[in-house]
Amino acid sequence: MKHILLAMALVLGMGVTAQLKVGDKAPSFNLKNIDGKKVSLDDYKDQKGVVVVFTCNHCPYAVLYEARLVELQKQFGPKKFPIIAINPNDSTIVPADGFSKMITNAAEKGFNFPYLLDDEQLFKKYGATRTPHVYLLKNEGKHFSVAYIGAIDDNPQDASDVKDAYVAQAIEAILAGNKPKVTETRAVGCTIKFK
Amino acid sequence: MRKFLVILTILFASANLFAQKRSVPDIAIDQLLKRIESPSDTIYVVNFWATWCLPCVKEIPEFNKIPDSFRQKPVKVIMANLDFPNQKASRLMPFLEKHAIKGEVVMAITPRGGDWIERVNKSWSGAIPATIFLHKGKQSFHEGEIDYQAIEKYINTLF
Repeated sequence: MKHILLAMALVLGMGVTAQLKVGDKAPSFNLKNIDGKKVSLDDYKDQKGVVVVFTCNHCPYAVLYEARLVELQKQFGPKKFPIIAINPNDSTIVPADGFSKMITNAAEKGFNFPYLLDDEQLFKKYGATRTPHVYLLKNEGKHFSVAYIGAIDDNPQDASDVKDAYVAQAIEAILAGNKPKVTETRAVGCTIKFK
Repeated sequence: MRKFLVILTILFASANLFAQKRSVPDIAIDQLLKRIESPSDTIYVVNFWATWCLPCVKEIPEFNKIPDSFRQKPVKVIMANLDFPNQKASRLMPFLEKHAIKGEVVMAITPRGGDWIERVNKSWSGAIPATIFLHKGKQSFHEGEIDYQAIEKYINTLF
């Protein structure tokens, strides 16, 4: 039923972008990191999964989660679930999201993960619509599949008052050999700015 | 000196009162949905916005252009604010002193998590701005920035 609805939405042109679903194969990418080097999903073949998060500098909701991303990397990077942050915004629309600003923001906030510039509109292939927007990927051996789509947790404003840490719980589930209990969530965020 | 300070305090207090004259009711999201989904002649335009959202602030003048009626039907514009409720006094109220908003401003109180977003509209991811158009059970939805021309088009599709 869900598939039919999705197909209908696409036919009607409601889906501006092809929305990835949980279970789908994750599109690969090769984008420029803030250190100038390219980062590809293929570089992560030896990991158990990857937390791909579309985020940016300027969006207050993205900013609220920066410290939590650093914590997630500390907690799950060593367990082979590293973070890859990707900025999908066009800096000609939001100058604060330009490449040089990404470099300074990452340094100021102590990002311990790559922060890539999406100059190929990869976000459309994933169907990301807002920042922050997480796609938790699971390594299936030959490719990565989507295991969870949505928010990082259930309390944007207050990290100390989180009841459901969606991404952390989903990773824990996969590490324990189970399927994540919650596979999709929605959350308020900023629209992705593109032309 | 003391007297001066007292007068100054009173002056500030009353100036503050005056500025905050516009009352912004808190309304639970499901209550808001109930209100706009009730059958009536009214065309509802509900814009979800926040003071921190750049495109939301930019498009406010477009909503200000909406007339009070459209083809003899009353139009009700509701500007549903999604700032954090504990920042109502520090962010929303000062914002309203500086920006003219013609529609009714309410603070949408949302429960923990994002399940409520789907209840507003199935195709809404949660990104703001987002606007719904309702008339007698018919609904149109727009995620992202909008201009008056598009607003008019959406209203037209409701008939």
